[in-house]
Amino acid sequence: MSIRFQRIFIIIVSIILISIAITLILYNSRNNIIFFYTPSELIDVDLNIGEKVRIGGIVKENSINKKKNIIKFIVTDNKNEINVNFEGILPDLFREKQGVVTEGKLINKFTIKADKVFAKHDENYIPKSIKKQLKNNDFWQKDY
Amino acid sequence: MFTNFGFYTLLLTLLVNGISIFSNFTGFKKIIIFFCRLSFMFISISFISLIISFIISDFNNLNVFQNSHSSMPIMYKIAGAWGSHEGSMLLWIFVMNLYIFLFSFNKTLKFKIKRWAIFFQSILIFLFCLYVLLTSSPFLLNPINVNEGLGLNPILQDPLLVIHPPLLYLGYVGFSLIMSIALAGLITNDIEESWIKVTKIWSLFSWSLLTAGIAMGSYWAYYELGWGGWWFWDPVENVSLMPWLAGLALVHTLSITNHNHFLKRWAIFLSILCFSLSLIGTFLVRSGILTSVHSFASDTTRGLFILIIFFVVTTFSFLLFLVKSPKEKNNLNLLFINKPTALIINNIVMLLACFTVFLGTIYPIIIELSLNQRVSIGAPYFNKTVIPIVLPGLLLMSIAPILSWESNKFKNKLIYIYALILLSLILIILSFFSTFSVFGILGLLLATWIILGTLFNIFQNLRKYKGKKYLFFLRTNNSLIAHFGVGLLILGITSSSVFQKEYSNSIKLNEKLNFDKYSLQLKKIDVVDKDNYQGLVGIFLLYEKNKFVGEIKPEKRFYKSNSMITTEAGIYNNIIEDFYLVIGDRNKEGWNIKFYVNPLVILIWLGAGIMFLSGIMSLWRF
Amino acid sequence: MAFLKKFVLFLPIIITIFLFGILVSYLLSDRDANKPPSALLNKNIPNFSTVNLFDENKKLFKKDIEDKVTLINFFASWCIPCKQEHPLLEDLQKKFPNLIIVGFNHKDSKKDAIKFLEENGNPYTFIGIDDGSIGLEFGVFGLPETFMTDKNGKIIFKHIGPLDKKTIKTNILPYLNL
Repeated sequence: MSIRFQRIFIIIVSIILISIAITLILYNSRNNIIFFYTPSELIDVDLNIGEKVRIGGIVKENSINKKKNIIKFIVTDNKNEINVNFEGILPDLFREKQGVVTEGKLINKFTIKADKVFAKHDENYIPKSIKKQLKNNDFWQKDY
Repeated sequence: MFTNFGFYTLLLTLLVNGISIFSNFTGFKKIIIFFCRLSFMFISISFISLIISFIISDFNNLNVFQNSHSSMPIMYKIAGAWGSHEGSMLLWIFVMNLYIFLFSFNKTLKFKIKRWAIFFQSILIFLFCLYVLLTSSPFLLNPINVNEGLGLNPILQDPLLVIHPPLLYLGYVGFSLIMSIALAGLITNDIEESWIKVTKIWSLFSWSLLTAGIAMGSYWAYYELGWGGWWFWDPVENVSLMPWLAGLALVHTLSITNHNHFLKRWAIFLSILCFSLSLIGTFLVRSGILTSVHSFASDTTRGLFILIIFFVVTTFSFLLFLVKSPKEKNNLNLLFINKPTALIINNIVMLLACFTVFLGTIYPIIIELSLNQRVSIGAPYFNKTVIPIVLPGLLLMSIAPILSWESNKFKNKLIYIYALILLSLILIILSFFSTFSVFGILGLLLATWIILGTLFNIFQNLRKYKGKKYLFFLRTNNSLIAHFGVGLLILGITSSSVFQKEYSNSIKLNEKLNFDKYSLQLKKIDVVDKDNYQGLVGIFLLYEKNKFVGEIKPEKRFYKSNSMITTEAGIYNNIIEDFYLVIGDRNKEGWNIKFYVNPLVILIWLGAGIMFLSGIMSLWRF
Repeated sequence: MAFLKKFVLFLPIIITIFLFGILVSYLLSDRDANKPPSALLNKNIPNFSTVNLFDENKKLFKKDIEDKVTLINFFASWCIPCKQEHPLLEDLQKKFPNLIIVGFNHKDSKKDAIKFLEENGNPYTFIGIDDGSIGLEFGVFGLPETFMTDKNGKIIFKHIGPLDKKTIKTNILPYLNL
């Protein structure tokens, strides 16, 4: 085999590699984007059941309902509400009336089954519901 | 007082670098080396002043006020100096200066190249000093009178994160020197052996440190975030991975460059690319345009400033590359399957992977601009794209040591082929007894093949050395050792992600819960009081088939100074598996817990550690 | 072929410029992925009624501020960053004595709040007690938070976290042509 032929062969291999990569990128980026909505937007857009979405909003007051390790709560943007079901451990900063982002599958128009819950926290301000505990020095109860 | 001191010395650093840039065009060119060392002295004083301000808790300094608290242990007070955006940018300048300071003692390069390298580095330092002084000075005075600070972000209060940023920056910012040397080579048009050697040393050094930095960061994320995983394709992680991949391509290219003109040009291109990726990465993270688990203060002016630095530096470098790149004819000895071919394909694969990560990271921005829709791109995209792209590269890597430089022949090929067939048979049979997964089999096959192949080669080489000069042996075989580390890494990645088991439940005091063959018992909940936090520690007993294995102590901490709660996962490691436990909220049914069994996860950090050490070891060769 | 070769050499520069263009336009379009979507921007002020911190007989309703440019600031004595932005509010009040600054003392004890104002000064035209319900109506995420309303009773600006000189200059001062 001539050197020239081998060189062309390698160039062809590289081109194949590159095109495979580009196909993969295009295909996967199409199928793995998750759209980010507020509760009102989610209700407006009318998605298919089972689609993966991200919802951002505030955890509604008195809406958290924990049973065993299943947690249910409501995300609101002060206009519309979305129910969230979640199994697992909530982030440390998760609190009522705090900003939250959840990611999961739509199980009906107003409910998502979340597999991820993120609570956002800005270093510059204090989450207000924590302030009660700040008064005395003990945060955790001492009598478990 | 130290605040003002730090501010003025930073101002002096800016000034000295300005003069240094100017002096390159005057008669006394030798003086540039003096200025470079002077600048290092000033920036060191400035940086040390900031650290002292943190140590003595000088809350008259706004940065100290916002990121420190008098109750923090001294270790975290020091870490606070680079815990914030402002401080970490000062660290950035310090590292750039440290590199050029060390470089200024180089004796092998011609003065001409050295001078230009210092010149380009001075420009970078100058730009970043300007950036820090104008937009993010850590030396601002506090407008209000306080006697206590706000405290460092608790998730940063961790022994590993004290050394993680400096280590990461030594790698990440170290690429600036490599770019400066590359530009110096271009402008003097004098790229010879000593240039290649110097670039090799510094790129191996920075790349190894970056490896260690990334590995350390991922270990921290593993136990601190409490999500059971160690890599989340978060923008902050991606941003450090991009220059790492490009650096990997660079390090490999340099190992075969020698007299090849085409590869010299390619090495220069990669040198520029590495630092450009560092810059754009810094922009993506610091401008706050991407959502990330690690949040830095976001500010449009800051973002714009870094973006402009990126644009100016990158465009200038690529233009210089376009105009001055060596024009000699290509004499690369490419064959079907020899070392140069394998390396070229490795380079293509690494850059494609890098491109994939980059695209995935900025994809949300492009979509939001064009469709006005907020999206996020999840880990599945990266896993499904990056892994198939890297596979051919890994396959080549496993046979790389037996390839020859000049011909298509390879040594001992039969052993390799038999080993591969045998391994795949074993794995396929094994997979019938456990969970079947294509990626699992592929990953395990590749990993074991690489590990066996490199070990085989190492032992073969070892026979020739017959007991003397082991250190020399280690140094000359560093690439094999590094590849052995990669094998371990792949093994760890595959088994911990494909064969991970995840359970969640809630548990009462003294209750015993079963998870397959394991069971957990909650023995006690303790409350511990520390200076800077109050911790809630769950003491769990782990049993395997009703036999006691060990204690796991997951923790939740409440940091008093900034009223934040953090999670510390409890990990029990028996070498083969990590038992990983996170404690959650309390409810009527007891405490929520999440329990993971991660097989062989420790190999990830062991592998990365071996890669780091072999990189550092190879420096003694020069 | 020669053209192709040239093109490949120019490619890095083209990509850089392209990238720069995208990122600059994104940056200047003033989006922020980190901030939760604000449901209230350009909406009417939500309904509220509140009692004065110093005098229980004085009350404030939505209709009282509907037709005036008003700065609404949520604060509390337990919030350290509030202390940080306090001098700026005082500055603002001194420079624009006619500006109405309504402070909502959020989930705080009366005693602590009065002590806080004695120590740090009082830039507010009216301080209302907020047991938490007003904050909920406004969609307050954490303290401090500041809103700006115009003459038509619409919220035109919202800031999460402590105010700084730059925010005041770029986002508040332009509306204050009193």
